[in-house]
Amino acid sequence: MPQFIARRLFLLIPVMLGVVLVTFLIVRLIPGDPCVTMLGERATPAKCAVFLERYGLNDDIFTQFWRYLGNLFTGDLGDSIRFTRPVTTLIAERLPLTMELTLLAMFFSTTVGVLLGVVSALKRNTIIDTITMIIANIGVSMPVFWLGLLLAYFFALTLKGTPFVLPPSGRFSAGLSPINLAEFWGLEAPTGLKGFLVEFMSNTVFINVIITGDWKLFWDALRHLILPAVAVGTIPMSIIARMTRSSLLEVVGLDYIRAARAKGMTERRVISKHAMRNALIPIVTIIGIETGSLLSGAVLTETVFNLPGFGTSLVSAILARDYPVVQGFTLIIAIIFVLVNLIVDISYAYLDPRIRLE
Amino acid sequence: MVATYASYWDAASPNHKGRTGTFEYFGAFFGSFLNAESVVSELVDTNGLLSLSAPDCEYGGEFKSIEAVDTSTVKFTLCYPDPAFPSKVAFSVFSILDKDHLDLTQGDSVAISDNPNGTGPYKLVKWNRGDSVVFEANPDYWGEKAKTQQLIFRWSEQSAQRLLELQSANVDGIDNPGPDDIASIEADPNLKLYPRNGFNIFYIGFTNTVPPFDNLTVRQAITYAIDRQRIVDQYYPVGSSVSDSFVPAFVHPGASPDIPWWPYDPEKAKELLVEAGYTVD
Repeated sequence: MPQFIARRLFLLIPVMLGVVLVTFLIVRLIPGDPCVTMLGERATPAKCAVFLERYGLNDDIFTQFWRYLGNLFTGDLGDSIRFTRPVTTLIAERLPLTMELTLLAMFFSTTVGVLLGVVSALKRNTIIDTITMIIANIGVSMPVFWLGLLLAYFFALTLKGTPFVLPPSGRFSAGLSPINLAEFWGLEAPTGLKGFLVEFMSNTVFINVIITGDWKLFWDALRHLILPAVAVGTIPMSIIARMTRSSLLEVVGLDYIRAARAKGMTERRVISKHAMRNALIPIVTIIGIETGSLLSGAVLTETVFNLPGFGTSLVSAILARDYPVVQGFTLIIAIIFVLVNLIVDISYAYLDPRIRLE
Repeated sequence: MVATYASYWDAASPNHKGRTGTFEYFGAFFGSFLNAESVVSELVDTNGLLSLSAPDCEYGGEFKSIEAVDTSTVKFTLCYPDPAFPSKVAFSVFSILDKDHLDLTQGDSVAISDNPNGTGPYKLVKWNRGDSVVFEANPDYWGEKAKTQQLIFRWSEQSAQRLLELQSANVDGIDNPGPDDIASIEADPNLKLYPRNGFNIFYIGFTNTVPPFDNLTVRQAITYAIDRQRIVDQYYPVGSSVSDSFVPAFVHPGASPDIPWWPYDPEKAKELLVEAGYTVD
């Protein structure tokens, strides 16, 4: 197993280089003058001269790529044209929320989805199976924004005055915000990679709370994230439920399960120890894909619940032609996908020893 | 914190005949506010008071000179009369900043907006980017003190979301309710609607160098052909009105409500199109 992981990690190097090269080329391959593309109607020759000089676009492409790589390793992704702030700072502000939302949504969809799938498979062709699959079918066909609005309305207004009331939008209640860790540790405005990490950890509530012990903020953030997580997790939950059902049904019909039952094992043990392990491989694949796509930003959910996340920021950067931001955010999304795939591959190897030997 | 306040606008204002206006700034100061590219002659410091003046108005700008009369008064001498000047100086980008603050931020606009400084009834406490802005009452405010100790603005793009926040009592007030929500707000005994003027102006622009819009008669015909009252009735919330100038009627200077705009007259529009050489069915 360690050998397998080492090999996968080694393979990451060319993949990451490819990712960096592609995101680098995105901006450079746009036909026409980069200055006119980025500045649009404000591009005068004088401004363009300054612009090209400032972003080093006058140099040949190899020099540019070399500098881009060098900057990457020092944690510099350039500055946003729109906000005149470092792209890394924007990532450190926006990515943590999306990560938290994804974790919570995937926790919800995996636990509920697998549970529904298993129940459905075990009670195949009963009324329970039918109800479960109806739920899954409704879930997968429900538009996220509509479900989000319904949930917000129900939990914020209908349940108002009960202990189950949940806030309809936003990341925190008015007046609450994460403690800045640079201030907490008494650091003098850290820059570069260190600055990025400190900012990132400050904005990641579950990391922040471990360091600062601000549990009030943690519970507040959690209450704000429940509805978005359920809204955005419903489709993955339904897919996982259906996948679990079909995958488990397929495995349960195999000879080795009959052998396990013939040994006199309890049904619970047959399912949990023998059947589930093999049934999990397609489920893990789905979980990986869904996690990756949620991490790159759930634009609709972020909009419906007014969450300043990664997806809405990327979309607004694309609309505003803020290419340094688009480039930086795309790079991060690509890296996230690569890492999630790595984790999925490692889980395959854990679940199925044959994969380790290939 | 937002805008530096001018409490007194001298009679010798450019609104009238002269070209000089005097402002009195409370709790304010005079900063080197033209300190960027100096087409203007250098800053003169007499008795701790700064002044700046251009040798003449040939440089194309609006200021002949800017001088600190005393620690709370600044005098602008303009190159030409400008009736909009009082409105312009109330713009946040145009605010007069503390000299120490300017020295500290080196005039960097990002640093200035990250560490705002001003004389308003509220002080900025925290800006949670993409989420909210938190203010607290300024105890040293020169005017009527703020009525609440804390003020939090949250950003929300969707009107349905804003209304839900209000109805669930997560916020105390919202601005810009959706046109469709106004009736339900009025029907809700817990809520109260305070109408305000809206700045939204819808207009159709022509590029008057491109045919057929390079023809004045065609442009006039289009103007006559549009039933603006009907557009307002059909698509705009209650309380909206047809605009008779390029800015909303309550904006002064700018709006000229006494000057009649082009009425809706489809017959006249057809006549004009025929006149311009088009055939009308």
